[in-house]
Amino acid sequence: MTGMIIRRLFIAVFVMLMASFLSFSLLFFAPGNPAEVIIRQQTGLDPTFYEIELFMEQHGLNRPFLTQCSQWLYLIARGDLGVSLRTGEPVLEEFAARFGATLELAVTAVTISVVIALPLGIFAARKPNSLFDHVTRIAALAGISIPDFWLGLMLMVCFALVLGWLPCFGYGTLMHLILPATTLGVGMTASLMRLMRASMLEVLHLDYIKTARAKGLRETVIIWKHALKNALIPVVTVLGMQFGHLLAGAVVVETVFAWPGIGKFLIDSIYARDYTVIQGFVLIIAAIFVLVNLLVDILYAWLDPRVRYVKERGVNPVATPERS
Amino acid sequence: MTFLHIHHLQVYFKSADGMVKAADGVDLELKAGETLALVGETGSGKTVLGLAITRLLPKTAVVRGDIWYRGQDLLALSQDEMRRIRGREIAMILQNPLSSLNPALTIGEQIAEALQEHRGLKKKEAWQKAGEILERTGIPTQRARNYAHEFSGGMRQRVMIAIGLACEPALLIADEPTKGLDVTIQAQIVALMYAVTKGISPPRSMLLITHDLGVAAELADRLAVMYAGKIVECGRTREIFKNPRHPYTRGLLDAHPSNGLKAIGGFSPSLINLPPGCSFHPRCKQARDRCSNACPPMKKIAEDWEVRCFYA
Amino acid sequence: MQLPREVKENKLLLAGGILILGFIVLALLAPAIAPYDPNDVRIEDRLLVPGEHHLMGTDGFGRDILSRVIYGTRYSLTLALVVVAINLVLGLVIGAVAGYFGGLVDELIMRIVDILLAFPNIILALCIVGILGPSIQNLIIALVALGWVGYTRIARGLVLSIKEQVFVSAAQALGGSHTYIIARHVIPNVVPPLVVLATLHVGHTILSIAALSFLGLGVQPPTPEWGAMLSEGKEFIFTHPHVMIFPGLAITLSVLAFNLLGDGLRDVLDPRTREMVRV
Repeated sequence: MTGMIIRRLFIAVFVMLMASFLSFSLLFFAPGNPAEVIIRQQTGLDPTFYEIELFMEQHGLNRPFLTQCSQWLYLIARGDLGVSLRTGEPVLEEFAARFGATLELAVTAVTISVVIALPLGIFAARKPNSLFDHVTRIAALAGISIPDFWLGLMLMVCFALVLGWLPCFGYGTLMHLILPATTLGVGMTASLMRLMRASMLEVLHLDYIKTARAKGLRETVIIWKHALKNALIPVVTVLGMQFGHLLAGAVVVETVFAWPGIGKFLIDSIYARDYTVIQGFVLIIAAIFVLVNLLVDILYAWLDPRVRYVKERGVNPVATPERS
Repeated sequence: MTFLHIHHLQVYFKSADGMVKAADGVDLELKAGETLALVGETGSGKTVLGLAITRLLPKTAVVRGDIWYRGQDLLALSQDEMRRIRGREIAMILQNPLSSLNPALTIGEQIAEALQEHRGLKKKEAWQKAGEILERTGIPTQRARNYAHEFSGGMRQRVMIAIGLACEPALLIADEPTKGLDVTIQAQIVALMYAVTKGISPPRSMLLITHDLGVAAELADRLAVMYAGKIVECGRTREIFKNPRHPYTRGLLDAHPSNGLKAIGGFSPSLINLPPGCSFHPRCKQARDRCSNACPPMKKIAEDWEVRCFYA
Repeated sequence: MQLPREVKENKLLLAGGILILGFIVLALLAPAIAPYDPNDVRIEDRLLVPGEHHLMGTDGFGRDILSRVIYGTRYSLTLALVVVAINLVLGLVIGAVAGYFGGLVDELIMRIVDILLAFPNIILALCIVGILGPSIQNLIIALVALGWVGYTRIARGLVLSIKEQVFVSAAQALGGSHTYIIARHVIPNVVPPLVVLATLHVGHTILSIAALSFLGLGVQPPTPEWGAMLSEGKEFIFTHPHVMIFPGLAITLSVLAFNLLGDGLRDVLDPRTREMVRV
């Protein structure tokens, strides 16, 4: 398995290099001269031609593109992602300061989703086409169709305004966490439930489940031991990929609920045209991504013995199980 | 009291195009300690019969008749009662060892759990016993920790047999145990099956489902030939091989490579639209008018020998 | 209309199909159906609760919400379809190239695709629009930047399997150039499954567009796009919530329609092996 990890690391580094290059280039696509934009940002006044030239000289912005690019790469390697144009603080620090809040939100949302979606999916698969199954399927379908920002606002109106049970904005207590986490969790729960159900149904039709029945094992053992272990495999991989959607959802939800996480900060920076932050955040998020992907790959290999076998020996795995 | 007695068994499936009559009035008897081979082409209904006995058919199947096992009608038992019999008294070894083993569990686990369930053994004892059973089927005990994909086809078949034997069932139902294996491996499996049925005392009963007459010849005391959902000939293996009475049985034997590989003309009938009268008559060289009008009943032609043909 | 039986029996497909048809009708006939001009500002009628003159009420500028929702169908649907179409074509071409040429090109493209596959499209889209400035063109660019990735993987797989087939070798033997073969033989066989995938993505795209517009980074007000309408209505949420309810419902319904269609399509295309029993 170490061979696989090393290969993935190489690819990861390559991807990071590409991401760095791209995020750096982004600035050059912005309308107008970046120097002009930045000065205007910082001073709030239209810069004169002289000021622009001076700025460009000072920051090396009049050097060739590739030179600036390598300078950027060099800085990144040292962990220096520049300074926010708005706050003046290092980008990395701004990120680190707010990451905790977003993590809190994300982890809560994921936990809620997993706890609700997995059992629902399993039970729905046990009795397909029953009333329970139909109801949950429709609910799940609705869940993935609702725009999360709208849901958040509607929940806010309902629970904070009309019922007054929960606060709308802010951060601090468990009460503050409930609405944003629920909003973020709804979409995830819905898609996870659908996946669990589909995966479980697939597995329950396979030959080896029949063997388990022929052995006279109890239904609970068959479902929770034989079927689940196999059915979870695709679900886990998707969970890893869901991480991306989670982050995306966090951006919107944080904005709606004024939750002080990296999502809100990113949006505020975008509004304020804080380019260094935008560049830096893209890079950091890309890095987290690559890391999460790697972890998911490892988890997947651990769960499915066949994959481990393939990676270790480079042999073709057995044919996929047939349906009965 | 006969060990296993299948009485007027009918198994129908509803399909979009009509009723599939997989088993249409099957009567079969198996004595204790005996091996009966159920022989026929693919699509004749053999596997369905095995699944019917163990009640593993899908819910869409319509089952009528009785299956008497040691004085109990299996079809009348509750789900839970049947579950207790499965694996413990009646063990079915399913086809396709490739896909019939759970890829996420070790084979040792898959054997041990049967012991834990039916014999109430603790985990450690179950694993120990599992190792012993593996040895008996020719797999080294250390390999209990391996996964299904780490074994070759022949080894996997042995694992399936081991799983079947785990709780020392009184009746073994083996569905195509040699299908898809090399000839040399087939011989090994046949030897193994012999060892675990006739090689013990008292001998274990077995219902062997196969399309391979050679395997049937080596293992079975009695033979039941199935065609289009019905038994067409049933009797002692040796007698039937010496002188097959039903035209279909004759055709099957003639089709064997050592007899000249003569094919039976025509195609297997669809189980939805069976030919009128005797199901075999369209392909039968001796068919006469009567054969297309009425379906022949099983006719006893000798002690322990029955044939479903007007002119046998 | 002669439809295969399976299609007619599948309720999901029907429900989704009917809903979508409904939306398309609304989009096409908007000028005829909408009771008011969507951009007609009437300050004296602002923030009216749903009533007989305005079935969905009016917004902060006195514009009839029902009319705006109806016209909004045009923007959301067209934009989403355009984005998905571009993604499909891009993904198809890149995937086809990867699958057809194989080797290093294939390896490289697929590695990149593997990592990009899960990257949140929205975040990059946000940043791109944030830097380039909000406009419809930039919105499309932003959504297309990563959107093609999902199609590439499938296109490549299909191309690989088709490549093995006889008619491709025949074409090669007859001296067809690579471009010719890809265009005439490979691509027509790869397109249908991708279209199915696309149907599933339209809903997601509508949501992305709405989200971006809501954040002010997509379609700009006063255009009656649903997300933009929600953005404008944000300030009235506590005083006049009705302004936000209807555009949101519209988004939900349209996305639901495409999801129903997508689910139904998937059901229909799934081989019905579950009902067969081996005898």
